Amino acid sequence: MTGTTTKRGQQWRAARVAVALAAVAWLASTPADAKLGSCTDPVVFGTTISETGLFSTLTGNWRKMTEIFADEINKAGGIKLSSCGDKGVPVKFVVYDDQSVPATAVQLYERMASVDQVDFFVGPDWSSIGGPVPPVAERHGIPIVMGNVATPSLYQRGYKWVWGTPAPAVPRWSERYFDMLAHVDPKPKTIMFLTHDNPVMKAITAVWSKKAAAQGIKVVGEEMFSADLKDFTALIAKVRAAKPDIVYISSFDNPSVPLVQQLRQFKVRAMDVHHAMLTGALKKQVGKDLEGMTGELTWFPSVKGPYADLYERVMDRTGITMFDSIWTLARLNSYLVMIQAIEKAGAVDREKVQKALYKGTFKSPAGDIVFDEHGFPDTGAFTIQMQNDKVEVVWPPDVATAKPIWPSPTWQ
Amino acid sequence: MSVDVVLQVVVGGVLLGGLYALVAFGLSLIYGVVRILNFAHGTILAVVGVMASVMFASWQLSPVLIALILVPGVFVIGALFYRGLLRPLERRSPLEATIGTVLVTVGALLILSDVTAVLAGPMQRNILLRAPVIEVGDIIISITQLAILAAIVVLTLAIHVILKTTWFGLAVRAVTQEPVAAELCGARSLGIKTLTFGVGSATVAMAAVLYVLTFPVDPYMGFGLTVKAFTIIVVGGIGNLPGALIVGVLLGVAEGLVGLFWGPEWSPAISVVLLLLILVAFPAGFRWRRA
Amino acid sequence: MLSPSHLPLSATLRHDRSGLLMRASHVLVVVFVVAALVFAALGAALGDTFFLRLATEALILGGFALSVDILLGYTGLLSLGHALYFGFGAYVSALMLKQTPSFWLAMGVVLVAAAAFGFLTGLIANRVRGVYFALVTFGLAQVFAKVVYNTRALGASDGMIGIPIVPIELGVVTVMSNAPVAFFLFTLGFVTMLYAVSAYLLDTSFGRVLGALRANENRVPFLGYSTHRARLAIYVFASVVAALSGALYPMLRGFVSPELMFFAASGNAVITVVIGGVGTLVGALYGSVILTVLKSVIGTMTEHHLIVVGLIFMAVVIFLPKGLMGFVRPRVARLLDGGGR
Repeated sequence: MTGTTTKRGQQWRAARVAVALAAVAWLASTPADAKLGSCTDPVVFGTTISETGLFSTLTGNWRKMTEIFADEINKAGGIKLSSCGDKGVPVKFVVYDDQSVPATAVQLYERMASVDQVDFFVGPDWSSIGGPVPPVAERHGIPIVMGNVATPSLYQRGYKWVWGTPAPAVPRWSERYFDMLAHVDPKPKTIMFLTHDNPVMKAITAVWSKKAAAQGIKVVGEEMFSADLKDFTALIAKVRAAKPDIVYISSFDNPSVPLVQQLRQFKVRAMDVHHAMLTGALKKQVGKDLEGMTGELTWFPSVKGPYADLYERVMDRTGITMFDSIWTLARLNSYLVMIQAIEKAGAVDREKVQKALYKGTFKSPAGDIVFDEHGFPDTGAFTIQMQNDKVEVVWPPDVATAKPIWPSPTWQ
Repeated sequence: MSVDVVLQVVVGGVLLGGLYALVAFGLSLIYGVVRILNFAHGTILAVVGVMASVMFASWQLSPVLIALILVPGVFVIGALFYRGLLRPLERRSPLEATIGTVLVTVGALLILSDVTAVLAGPMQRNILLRAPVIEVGDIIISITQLAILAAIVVLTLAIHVILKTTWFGLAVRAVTQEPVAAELCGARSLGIKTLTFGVGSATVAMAAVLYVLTFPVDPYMGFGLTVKAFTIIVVGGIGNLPGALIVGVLLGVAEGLVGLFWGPEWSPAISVVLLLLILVAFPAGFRWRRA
Repeated sequence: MLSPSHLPLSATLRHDRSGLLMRASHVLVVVFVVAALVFAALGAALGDTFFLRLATEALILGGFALSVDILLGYTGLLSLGHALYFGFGAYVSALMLKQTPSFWLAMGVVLVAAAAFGFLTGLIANRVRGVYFALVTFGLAQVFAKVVYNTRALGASDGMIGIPIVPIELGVVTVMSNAPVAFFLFTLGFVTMLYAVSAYLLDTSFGRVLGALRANENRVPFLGYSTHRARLAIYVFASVVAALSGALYPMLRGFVSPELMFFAASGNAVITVVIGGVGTLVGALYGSVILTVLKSVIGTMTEHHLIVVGLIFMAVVIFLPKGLMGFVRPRVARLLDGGGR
């Protein structure tokens, strides 16, 4: 190398070092919000929301909802800690967009663990993200309560710091609907499953097609469709040929929009068409076509469980309803469970909180959340039916807001 | 499987395939004349479809009026897009020009989809006209579907007539077949290319309004459509509209039949598989020529 | 189309010039490595993990982008599905590591499998040219990603999690894949090695044939070379480089998911190369660092990061057509040239 090059190289190196130093200065200057064990600093929850990408249709306004949730908790005095003489400590959220991409989510949880130095993790959703994120929590020893991660096997990996509050859990998803089917008259004899090509929806079909057969309802067909299918003629032709009493649509709300529309257009007849995710988002898109259909709702304000007022206020102020996005309950539950666990532990102490979460029972508006030894909960859902353009809870009868209309008149 | 079921599926396939063909016409014109593969082509359908459904939902405009507003708008934007962003790239070396146009059109695709998703929401939407249906045995056809089929036929004929009889059509065909000779004979390439980009984009806008009358659109569905349209013109031949129409309808029917006999989860994949098979079987016949 | 640059005399001149540019690339790699070492030292001193691991990811993606530049910059082949091989490497590595956490075994299997896989898919892809090549590579990646997405044994859409921590034996020392500094340094060495091998290969007579392919494909057979074989060979080589980079991914992050094969990943690699500078090799590494930092910063600042990324990406194509290194490298080359005389 010649003198010029070396000199040029040195200049470059100097520039690069300066950039690196600037980066490090930025790193070092990031405020360390969290001081574990402190009674004055806020407790910091770190979470990601799928605000863009594949799952973004399911998370409308959640960032705002999260901020309002923190505001409501803090207005009521914050998290009560016995180690601080029952003084309330405020809660604060760090929120990022994971873009519905697992790799981005993992990067962000690592960032929150080491750069933002959050105290606890709450809320990531969907099985694809709920798979790779827990190891980050394990590595850093940070308790995590996940939201809508409903695949039971993801919890059975010997984790020590991982819990989840999916609602409903796959094994209890349509429990009350099938209970209702056993009690209606005329009794349905056949059922056909239309499944969105997605692991959670496939798991639901697997569980409930077995349950249907056990209950004496014959499964006369199982069809799968991908999220980008627009022309359902072939699938509907098969439904019309099989003539099932019940059509069970196991799908996310958005991909099933053309399916519901075309079922109507082709005048499919059945006793009932059930949608495993009958949501407000679906209603916005298909409108009156939803009339008479049944579905699941995780919680609704007339079930006055503990913290029901808090949830109602948060959702009112955000401008969303549980029916808009049925995933909202699990999201809020993950926040709520973490707050209760910290109060039980009595201190902002990760190990004590971990002990409080293990096999714990926590209050929620929809009933108690009970964790098994893997950190998986035991949460069911209510059966709803669209009646006169309104959502009515029709099963179980003791909390129902209306009687089920059977067989559903709109499919005759 | 009864004949009725198969016929019903074929009817649905013809309708969807006709719409694919309309999308492919635009791409075929543009690729034939300008020699640029516009990756954002299908995204125009997605975005215009979303706009049309929003206009319908907010102001209850008639679909015809919506088309009259949107189609000229898209023509202008398409022409400006070409003149402003793609034309300057043509001065570069062939390799750099190819890379440049691919990246600019892919970038436009990302931006269009995201802006639409931010403004109108990422969910699916369409224009639902509850028209009466005609039942022939077990086969059901709605009046809307018939109207769309009629519109596809009329549009195809119109485009065909324009290409055969007008000076613009003559120039388009000339440039598609012999770019250099056409230029020598006085077909001013810049003007024709700009006009073609506008017309090609406007064709998709028309297809978009028809599409949302039966099928829902979402901001991110465009790229899949571009691939389908490209499959159609690769198989049907660039600049060959009757060919594109036949292949488009066949593709729509094939998607339906795959769904019927194999499983609907595989329907959207067959255009990609078909594209691969055709390109592998006949690479020489479809060699890419530099403009 | 005859142009003076295709005449033998000017061809040799061009080679001198390209040799000079290649030396400039080497200098820029040295600068890159030194900067990375400083970064690692600072990271270690401050006990950082996040930035080191982010930088490691940038290096891995840099290795992937390098393979795209080998195709694009040296043969003029624009692949829109090259993430297929990156993802292939990641999945094969993940499957092997879950069986036996042996680094060298996993890398060996990835090398052989990727060569075979690249050869078979290369036979298909290389039947076509230009825009059709872009479409076929896109289609191939799409089909395989769909298969992975639907295959339960490969974790389907959830991907595979629980890839163990891997000890990497390097004779004197053993690097653990979960040690931020050590694994960063190892990845730096590995990617630099990929760069060196690629640069060496492209400087041999084989590399010159490729350059000739890019310049004027129809004339190459007259020089006695098979264009088809040369192109297939470079395709296989690029597949292997992508797969070897991908193989490091599960070691860093502990999981693989089908997104690694999606169009977004392929597109990102092309953008990385264009930002860094097509045909410079070293541009892939710089481009990857820039893009990773940009995405991380924008991603944590605004919800509408995709729009911002899309705009940056169009702006680069229009205003900086030769990329960052296309701008910097000739200046370094001029300095080298001046110094050499």
